Order: sequence, then C-alpha cells, then structure tokens
Amino acid sequence: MRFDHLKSLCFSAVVFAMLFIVGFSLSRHKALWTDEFFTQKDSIDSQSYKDILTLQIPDGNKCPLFYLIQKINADLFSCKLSVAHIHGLNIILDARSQVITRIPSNVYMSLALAGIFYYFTRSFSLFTAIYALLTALVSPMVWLYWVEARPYSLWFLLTTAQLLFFCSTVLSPKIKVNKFIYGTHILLVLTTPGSILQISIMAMMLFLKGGYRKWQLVWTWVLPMGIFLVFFFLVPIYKFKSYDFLPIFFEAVMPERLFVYAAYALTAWVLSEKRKRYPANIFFLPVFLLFSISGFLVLFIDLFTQNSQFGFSNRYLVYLAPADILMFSLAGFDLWHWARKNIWVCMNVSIILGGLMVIRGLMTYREILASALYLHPVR
Amino acid sequence: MFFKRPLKLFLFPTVNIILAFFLLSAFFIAGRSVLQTIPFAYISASNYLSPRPMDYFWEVNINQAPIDRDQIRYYRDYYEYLLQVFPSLRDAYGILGYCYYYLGDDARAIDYLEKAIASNPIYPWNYYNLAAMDINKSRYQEAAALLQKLQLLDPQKSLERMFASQFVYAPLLQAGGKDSIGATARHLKILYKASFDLLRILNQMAYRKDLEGLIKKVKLVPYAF
Repeated sequence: MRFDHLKSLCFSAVVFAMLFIVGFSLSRHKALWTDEFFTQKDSIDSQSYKDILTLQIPDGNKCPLFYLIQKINADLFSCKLSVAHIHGLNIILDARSQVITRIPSNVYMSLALAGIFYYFTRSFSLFTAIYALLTALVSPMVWLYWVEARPYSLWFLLTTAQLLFFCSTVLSPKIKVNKFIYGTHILLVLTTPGSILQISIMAMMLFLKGGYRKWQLVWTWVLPMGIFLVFFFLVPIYKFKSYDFLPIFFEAVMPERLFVYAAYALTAWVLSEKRKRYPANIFFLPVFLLFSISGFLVLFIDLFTQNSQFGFSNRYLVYLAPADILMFSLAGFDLWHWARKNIWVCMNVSIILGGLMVIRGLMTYREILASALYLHPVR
Repeated sequence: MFFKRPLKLFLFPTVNIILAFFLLSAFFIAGRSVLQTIPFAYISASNYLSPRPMDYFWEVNINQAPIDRDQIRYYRDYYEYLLQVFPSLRDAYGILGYCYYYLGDDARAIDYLEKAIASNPIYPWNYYNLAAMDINKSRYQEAAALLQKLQLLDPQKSLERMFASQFVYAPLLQAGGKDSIGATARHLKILYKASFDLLRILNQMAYRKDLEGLIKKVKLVPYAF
C-alpha cells in the first residue's frame, strides 16, 4: 500500500528521529581518529568563514561545503575541541565536543536513510520501505561512516538524494523532469571533486532518458564540471597503494548481492522475451553497473600509479553504497513482486532475500565489532 | 495435458520445498560459520583497544613515573572491556582494583581486589594492595591478616604465575624488555621484605602505641606488579 505525501513524511520523520538517537549514541562511543581530529582542528576551528569560502583549507579536499557546515555547527554550539586523552590514532575528547562535532554527520546519514524510507513508502509500500531500510542498515559503509566527522556521510546523503531523484524522474506511470538533480550535483561537487564520475554518469543517463532540454543538461553536467576543474587544480594528487582493490570494492558493493542482480537481469530478460515487458525497476540496473564500473576505474587508475605509503581506503568508494542499497531494494521488490503469484516461488525468493539480509547483518556486526569502532569509552 | 495437473499439484511444490530446505540449510550453515568467528572479532577489537605502547604501568610501578589519571583511565577501560568479553580473564580484577584506587573509587578498588584474591590466591600484590588500603583506613587487623597470607605465598610460583598470565600481566611485563624477569623479581623481593616489616609493625602495635602514630604518617599506595 502506497502512502500519501503527508503519511510518508510522518513515518519518515519518526524513522529519522530514531536513527538520529542511534547516531547520537554511536557518536558518544566513537573516539575521533587522527584525520578527523586534524580536519576539525586545522581546517575548521583554525579557519575563518572567509578562509573556507576562499578555499584556504589545509585538508587535501578543498571543496568548502562540508567545512562550512562543520564551522557553523561548531559556532552554533560554541564548541572548541578539548582533548581528554590521545592514544595512538584515537583522540578521546570530552563527551560534549565529541557528540557536537559529529552532529552534522549524524544528521546526514539519518537523513539519507530516512530519505530512502520516504521514497519507498511513497512509491512502493511500507513493507518495501522497511526492507530497504534494513538493506541500508546491514551495509557496513553505513556503520563505518555514520558519525565520522569528515565529508563521507555528506557524500553518502547527496548520492542517495541524487539516485532517489533520478528514480523519481524515471519511475512510471508519470515520467517527469526533476529539477532537484541540478542542485544535488552542485552540492556534490562542492563536497568532493571525487563526485564528478557519478555526476557524469547521471548526466549521461538523463541525456539517454530524454525529456530534458539542452540547457537543463548543461546545468546538470557542465556547471559541476566547471566547479570540479577549479578544485582539480587546487587538490594535491595523492598516490595510493591499492594491492587489495577487490576487497575494498566489495566493502562498498556487497558481493553476494551480485547473484541477486544476475537473477534479476535474467528475470527481466525472460519477462521481456515472453511477455514483452520489463520489470518496473530495471532502469536502475545500468545506473548501478556504471557506478560500479566507475569504482573499478578509480581503483584501476590508482593501481597503476602506486608509489606512495598511503593505503587506498573504502571511504573513496562511499558513493557506491547508496547505489548498492537501492539496487538491492528495487531488485528485491521486483523479484518478490514477480514471484508473489506462486506461493512456492514466493517462499523461496523470500528465503533468499531474507537469508542474504541476515547473513550480511551478521557479517557487518562482526566487521564493526572487530574494528572496535564504537567501543571507546565516554568521558 | 495428461501430465500437467499432477505436475502442478505435486512435482512443482516438491521441487520448491526441497529447494527451500536446501536454501535454509545453506543459510543456516553460513550464519553459523559467521557466528563462530565472532569471538575472533572480540579479540581483534581488544587488540585495537589495547594501550600502545603498553609500557605505562611498567614505568609507574618499576621506574616510579608520575601518575597520569588519563592513562590509568584508558587502561581501566581496556581491562573493563577485556573482562566484559572474556570473563575468564580474572587476572584483570587485580589491575582494575589498582586502576580504581588511582581514579579515587576506593569502594570499587576494594571490590575488585577482593575478587582478584578469590580468583588468583597466589598473586601477592593483590594482598599487599588491599592491605595498604586497609592500613590507610586504619583497619589494622584486616591488613595484618592479609599480609600474613602474603608471607605464606611462594615467590617463585608468584613470578611464574605473573609471566604465565598471557593476556593480562605478561603484556604489561614485556615492556621491561630483556630485564623484565629480573626487575619484576627484584620488585617482588622488595614487596616481601616491605610487607614483612609492615606485618611486624602491625603485630607490635598492640603493645607499642607510638607505632600507630608512625604508621598513620605513612601513605601506602598500591602497585600493579
């Protein structure tokens, strides 16, 4: 049962509040690590608004949006970092500054997940929305970057918004032009220059989809590209070691879900052959594939330029996680929808989707536990 | 046509039930194998949380470095976590008792030290630490009883026990490098000598009132090892 706008909004607000409370608790138990601490100290606390807006940011990333919001947040709560204890890579602050520093990231991630929930209640059903929310909650990238006071959760939110706006433009019965995509692209490129790949993919998809005027596509791609070029010449080019690029890729895209996507593509092909129609959400598969290819592209470029001590981190592929979450949710919905007429097939599809969800949940729990991310004490 | 109905009624559900059974079994096995690796995740987490370098207690106890409450708090958190996920590591009770003393929580310190003595009765420092706290609170009889028990312990066995404590004492003692056994043994010798002297003073206090004034002037502090 689809919900109307107001009902969906109310449900999503409740989900947002619950996620924010969870994030609040997580931020109390996660010590800042060196990069987070120095980002906050050197690139936010020590810089004025003018410095940030004129891109005088000591961090490698010169895009100002994240730093600007962090600065406003710190000023709003009059929060200056006071270090309680430094231990190796972990910097334990007093509970107040630790939580306040992490508020914007908590809001971004909670908003992204609530946004997914809203989209699915509005376009599909409450059951599908819960399924999509669970898919997101078992994703390790969500837990790794939920309250990290760096731009990754903002990148996650904007990618989620970009993909959801794209879905809403394509989803039948009413294919429409969504103007919010332009804004999302501008915000994305103001968050990280690494987003140019996904912006280009989306611009290409919108171009192929049709319905957009030329000047609209210019707004969608040319303007972000111009902003990207400005940042590109300012950003230091780091070279990374990435011997283990496949494991890094599969931290953002869950490998076991690829079998579901293959089954989904096969189902789509069978349906198109037999009934001359495609599953409703198959349009998202090329988006997901292109996103994945772009992730590989980043990793491959990196592989051939390695001569540095830095390890390539999964955080540069954080934008793949929302694509994977949405793909799994949409594919799951379509497969279940397709199978529901036959109780036996429906039972097996439910076992596969539920089983994969439970196994991924356990694996994510193990990964987060092993990294001791949220086990730091409160001061 | 003839076969279509039985196929629909019997074969299709049977195949699907077999498939469901197969899928459930596969997920059950996969889930169980993930659950079996959770203890390794706890070990990995404890490695992440462990103080590095782990030499602060060595510096404080052997080289008389000053007390840093933040450092002690960090060690306290680490051993609390260790005990929470591995309750069998009871040697951590003694370290926690030591930590809580310096964090100003005497009630918890006493509680942990009593648990430490109950779980590891051949480790002498726990007796001394508890006795020191008793003396500081003028509970001389209790302190004397503890020091009496300490004197009956075999120092050689105590030393062996300390280095055999793979997850609690051994990593702390390794900070001493090549001389860790020698330095720990020397420190242990001092403990036995000091506790013997203390016991003598406590025993003589019954007929020498001047000793009470003397002992009240002394502020005894616990040691981890």
